[in-house]
Amino acid sequence: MAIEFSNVTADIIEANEFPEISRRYGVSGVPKVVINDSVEFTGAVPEPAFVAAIQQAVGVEPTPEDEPTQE
Amino acid sequence: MALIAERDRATIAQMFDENLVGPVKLVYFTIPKSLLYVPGRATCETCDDVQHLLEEVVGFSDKLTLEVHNLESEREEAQRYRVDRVPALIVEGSTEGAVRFYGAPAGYEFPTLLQDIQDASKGRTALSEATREAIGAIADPIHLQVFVTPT
Repeated sequence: MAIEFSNVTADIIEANEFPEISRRYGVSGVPKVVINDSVEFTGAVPEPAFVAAIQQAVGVEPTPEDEPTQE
Repeated sequence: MALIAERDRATIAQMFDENLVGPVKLVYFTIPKSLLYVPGRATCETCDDVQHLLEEVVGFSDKLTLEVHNLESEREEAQRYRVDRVPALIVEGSTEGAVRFYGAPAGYEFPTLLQDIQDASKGRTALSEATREAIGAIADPIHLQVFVTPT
């Protein structure tokens, strides 16, 4: 996302080398993602969930999942 | 002594040859090792090794360049890139976006670095269209911090 969008910056931080930052963000497992210092999650998540977390962090309504049409 | 194994060198060279489109600049901030220990002066145990690794990586393609900056003596550059810790690597491609690595891109992070270099070169990643639409609709700055370990 950082590569495609200029308003996104992605910092990949090696937790062992920066223990004080890891402590500040309460990193106990990796990968841990922190978005705008407000929303966070630990572990790999599917892409739509990542997007939803970003939307939550910026205060945007999450995109509704496509519902299969009912006949 | 080469840091990248011989069997991997040909693979990486071929991968870059097939996938790199535009130029990519690797901007690297370091604190070089000093023979003299100065109390209170910041040190960086991995910085020199990471620099050697990056020098090898950019050697695999003409489209890659490495720019090395000293965090302590080049304060303006550090401020421009908003770098306050080392080792710090900014991968800059053809578009505005950039990915930053703090710490050694070792172990599982090394393939991530290689992939990011290729993506930056194309200005495009494997994101789904739905993701592109959703993120494209957001004007606010989005700061992602991803904590990882090499293993």
